[in-house]
Amino acid sequence: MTPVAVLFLVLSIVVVWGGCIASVVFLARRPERTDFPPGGHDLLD
Amino acid sequence: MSTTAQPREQWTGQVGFILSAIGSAVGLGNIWRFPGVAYENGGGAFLIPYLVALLTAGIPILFLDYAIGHRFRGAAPTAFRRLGGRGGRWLESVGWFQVMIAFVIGLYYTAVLAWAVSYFVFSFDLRWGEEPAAFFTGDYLQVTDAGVSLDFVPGVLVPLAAIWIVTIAVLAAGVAKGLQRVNVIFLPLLVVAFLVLVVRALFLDGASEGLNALFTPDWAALGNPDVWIAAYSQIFFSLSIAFGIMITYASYRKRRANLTGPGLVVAFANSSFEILAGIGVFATLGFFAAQQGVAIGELEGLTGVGLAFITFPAIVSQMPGGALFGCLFFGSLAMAGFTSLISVLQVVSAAVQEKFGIGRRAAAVGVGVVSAVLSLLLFSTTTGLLALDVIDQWANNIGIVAAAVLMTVLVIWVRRKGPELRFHLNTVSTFQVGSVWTVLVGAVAPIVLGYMLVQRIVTLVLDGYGGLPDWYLLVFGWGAIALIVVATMALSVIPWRRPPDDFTAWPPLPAARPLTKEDVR
Repeated sequence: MTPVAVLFLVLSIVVVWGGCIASVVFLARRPERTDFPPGGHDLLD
Repeated sequence: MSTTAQPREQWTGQVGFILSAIGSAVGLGNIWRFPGVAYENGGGAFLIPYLVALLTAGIPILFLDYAIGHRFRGAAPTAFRRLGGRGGRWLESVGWFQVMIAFVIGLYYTAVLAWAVSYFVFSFDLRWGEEPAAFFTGDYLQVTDAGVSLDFVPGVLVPLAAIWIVTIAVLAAGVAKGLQRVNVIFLPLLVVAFLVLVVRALFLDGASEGLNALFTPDWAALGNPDVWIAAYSQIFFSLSIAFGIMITYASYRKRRANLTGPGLVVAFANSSFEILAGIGVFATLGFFAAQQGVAIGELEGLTGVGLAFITFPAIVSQMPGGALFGCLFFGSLAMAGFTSLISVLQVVSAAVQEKFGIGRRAAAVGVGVVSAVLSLLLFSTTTGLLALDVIDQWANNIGIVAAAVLMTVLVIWVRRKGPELRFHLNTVSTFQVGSVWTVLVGAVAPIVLGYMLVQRIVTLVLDGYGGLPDWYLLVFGWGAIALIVVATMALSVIPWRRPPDDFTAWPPLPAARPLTKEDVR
């Protein structure tokens, strides 16, 4: 592969897969809010 | 039939929802559309408009869908009716427009899935032989001239009927035991199968030339507006947004549930799979070009049906261990397609359940049987390929794009629900959206999508499509849109079995005063 193609292959992986990993890590650290307003319990919709 | 309201179905948790939403987003387009679109629109440089489109339209509209479905707790017609409030019950029609698009797409998406399943079986003995193009249109689909035929093709009819039976069973099993279970099984399997395929492809002769073709940037392309439109189109069609799927899926989340955090995971996971597909597909095309002694640019059939059912079989025939490669490719296509298909049909099933007050099994069977009959009549005959191509072109490029423009304009500008939906997202979620979100869904999205819509309508009116006769495009293309509009109007005026209007959104807006920056922060 040419160096420029390698660069863009790596860049694509880092940005897009990195974004995926970062969003998973963010969600794992803060999966849900702890300060919901009162109510919102699921009974009947 | 029960006359009392039942608790709403739910995903069993965050992971189930995320896997199901990714399963919906990752479909045929990720595998057969993205690689070719990226290659034809600047190669490595396409990454820039692609990311801009993801951040300025894809993720914002995904959040809009989530907010509408989650706050107003229903399938698209219910959610839009409740969003409209006392003076805006007519907004229900936007929901039915989305439902009808999903209904039409479900009819032909199943047929493509049937082809993929057939080709998965054909891979074992490379049944397409030395002439995959002739095999696909001749031996397999038995395509005739444009027209209306009732000559059924057994090789398509049987797998198509089987897929409808399985789909009805999944929908009838419900959200947790049907849709979520399918996604929890198929999505990891899809990722593993496709990873194996990509690794194999990377070790083929010529793979590096394929990757050179895909990733070498053409900077001049960034000055071409069509490249930016291609990026917005790719993101828009890939994320399953604006035709009811994510509204319906978000409505099955419990009220106290994070929306934006999982949304980011879904959006980036979808794009991650597209990059993976790009690597796998172009490494394979590099091998094919090397075998033919030509450059990648001289190959034909780099996207869509041609890539999957003509180019790939030709490659598989020339490859050592081709049968296994073919099984992996068509198996991946079938799994990606199936997890998307059930999400499309759940849009219809959920809307019918709520409007007519019937249970999920009755809705699944009713919607499934009607769809199956139409699908078999239209797409398992000798004219199925042409009908599918035309209906797909109109339903996607006009139907879904129009639905998105309508949704963003009516919700943000006419009913002015932007601040309320932003308040909702921020109150239940861990990732906060700023006021720029309202600008993106209220201005950027409708402008870009509106331009795409007008451009496509002008092209289809002036140039026609695929060299097909005008009467054929009128019946199957514009006719499909007319059917969607007429059915939308009819379904909107039918009375509800149990009107969904006695509803209080949670979390409640701060006391009756305009929302402040503090409220939505």
